[in-house]
Amino acid sequence: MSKSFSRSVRHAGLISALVIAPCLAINAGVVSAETIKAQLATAPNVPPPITRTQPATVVVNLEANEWVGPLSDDNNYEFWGFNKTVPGPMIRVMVGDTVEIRLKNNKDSKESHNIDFHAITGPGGGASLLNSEPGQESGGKFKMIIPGVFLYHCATASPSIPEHIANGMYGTIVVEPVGGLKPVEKEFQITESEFYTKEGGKGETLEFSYENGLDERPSHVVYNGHASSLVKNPLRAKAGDTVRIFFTNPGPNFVDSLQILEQPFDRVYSEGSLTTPPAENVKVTRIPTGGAVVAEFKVKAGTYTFVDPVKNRKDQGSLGLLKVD
Amino acid sequence: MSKSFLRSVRHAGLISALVMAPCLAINAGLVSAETITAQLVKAPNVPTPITRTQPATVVVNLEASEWVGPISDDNNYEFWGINGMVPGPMIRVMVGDTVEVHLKNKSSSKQSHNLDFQKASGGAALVNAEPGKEAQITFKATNQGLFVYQSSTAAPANIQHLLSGMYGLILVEPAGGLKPVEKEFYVMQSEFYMKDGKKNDTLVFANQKVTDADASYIVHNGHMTALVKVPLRSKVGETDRWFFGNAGVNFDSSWHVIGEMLDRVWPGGNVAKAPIESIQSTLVPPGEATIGEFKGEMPGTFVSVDHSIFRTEKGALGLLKIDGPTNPALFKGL
Repeated sequence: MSKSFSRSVRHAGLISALVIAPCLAINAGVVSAETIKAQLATAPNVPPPITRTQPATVVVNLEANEWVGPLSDDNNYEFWGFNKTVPGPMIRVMVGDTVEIRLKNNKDSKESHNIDFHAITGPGGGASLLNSEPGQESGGKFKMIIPGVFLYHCATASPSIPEHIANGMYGTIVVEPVGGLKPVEKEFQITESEFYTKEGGKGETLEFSYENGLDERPSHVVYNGHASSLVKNPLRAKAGDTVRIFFTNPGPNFVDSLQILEQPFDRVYSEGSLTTPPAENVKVTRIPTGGAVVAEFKVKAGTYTFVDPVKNRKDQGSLGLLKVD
Repeated sequence: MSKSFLRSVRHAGLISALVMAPCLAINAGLVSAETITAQLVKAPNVPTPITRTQPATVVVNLEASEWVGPISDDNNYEFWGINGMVPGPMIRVMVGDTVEVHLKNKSSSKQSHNLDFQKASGGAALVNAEPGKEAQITFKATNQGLFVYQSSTAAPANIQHLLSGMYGLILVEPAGGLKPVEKEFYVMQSEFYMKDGKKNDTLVFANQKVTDADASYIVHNGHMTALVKVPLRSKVGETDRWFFGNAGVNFDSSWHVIGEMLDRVWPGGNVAKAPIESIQSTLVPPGEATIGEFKGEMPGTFVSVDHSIFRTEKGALGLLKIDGPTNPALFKGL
């Protein structure tokens, strides 16, 4: 029996504990003090840190959509994504929580969609239970047993798993360890991903190219779903703030590198592990495809530029700004 | 002088130590209580863990050969490999062991072949054999960890040897061995570069495609569907340990098991360091290997992939079937 459960039993008092006991035998593990609705946040924002000390059942409502929107200042793209944002909304829970995922597929969708959560232990990371045809809804309940920063993404086999990821169907779920993360002044999320499009003229809606995906030759390598999202709208902090970045790499192909020009990270939680001591004073950190890191650093006044320094990726869009007042 | 050697001296008693001492000066590093032959098995199988507590001389019998075999259900390829397998057999020794590699090159070979064990030896350890000949190298396994051994024959091109299957893993266990687990698997990711061909053709190596990093196949254990047709098997509650190598030569592998977290990972196979914990995907650069472990929590079919996801279309995946009771508290539909 978990410590937190024991605590909740103590709170509830002896009599209710006796009443609960028989149910426990039947619904082991499904006991939790409360059911709450997840607060979702769109990049670069993040949901607030967890202040609860007891596990809860957290309901997460997601919708799969297909829509045309800007990928750069020059071109549109037909995105597939969650809650009409790329990346999809960030989810924040704690270890011991039971997450109830409800995935609706918009009735206007042409494809079926599902989700593989890297935070979920079980077949397909939940994808086996979360397949939704257009206009339908599916759901599952999953216990978070491992803390960390994790990718979630669509893994529907038709027309191909890579195409669903390449079109924008991914997001981040943070599973805070017991006791939470150390409070900091500013938290942001950044997702770096590639897009593989056929060539097209200015103003056109570019089409997905499966061939370019196979060849690993992207047309765009972007932060938060648009080639200049974090240049037009820089991140903002104040001098003396400690900034925490949740950085996720859904690929679809590239191992990413994250660097802030002329500014080492004070701490990097490599490969998204929140239970392994962080690396310190890191200039460039590499993020596996299907992985994440947490990077923290204290800032002074000025403008910071963060990039993927590999080859010409920053020219393809993986460049962002942080303005510190 | 290693602790374990000192132990063996103590065991042998003072008199034999005195007798051995002069020999030591001549054959430094070759002293050991016994000579044994390495158990060599085909991937995904792994040689049994070492239960010895004393270093030994381990004889490793390898044969380089060239053969035409299936790379996928559609095409053949002329493999160059060790003991007729790609990847070559995994070699399992203990730190302090004296490893005696006998490399025979089959008489039907057209190329000379060599193997490089320098990562395990901590120094130059190259053995080269011409067709029909046999060569031998002896080295001390001074570095503990999991390493790639590979060909570095210069002709016709080093890269062609590496990209035709001449590699495998060598595990140098720490003194006292690795913690016992229920299941161990050996999986190696490799890239193949070929000129285009039709169904049923034997495809031909394409050097230009290597330069362009334009892989035709990226497979786990030498065939596009090796671990799909014959999945790995395990049970709920068992801890599975994976020895995962990346032969390269172009791509970092982001190794991930869909639906299972890696509870512990030793990056670079470095078992001397504490593992990193609770990892979704881990980076395995070309020419390196990693050790990952997890306990199976749920039954079902789990897919091991390079999460650079388009590569799964070229074969970079395998299946693990976990049998056992389901756990609805962990995972259930609404």
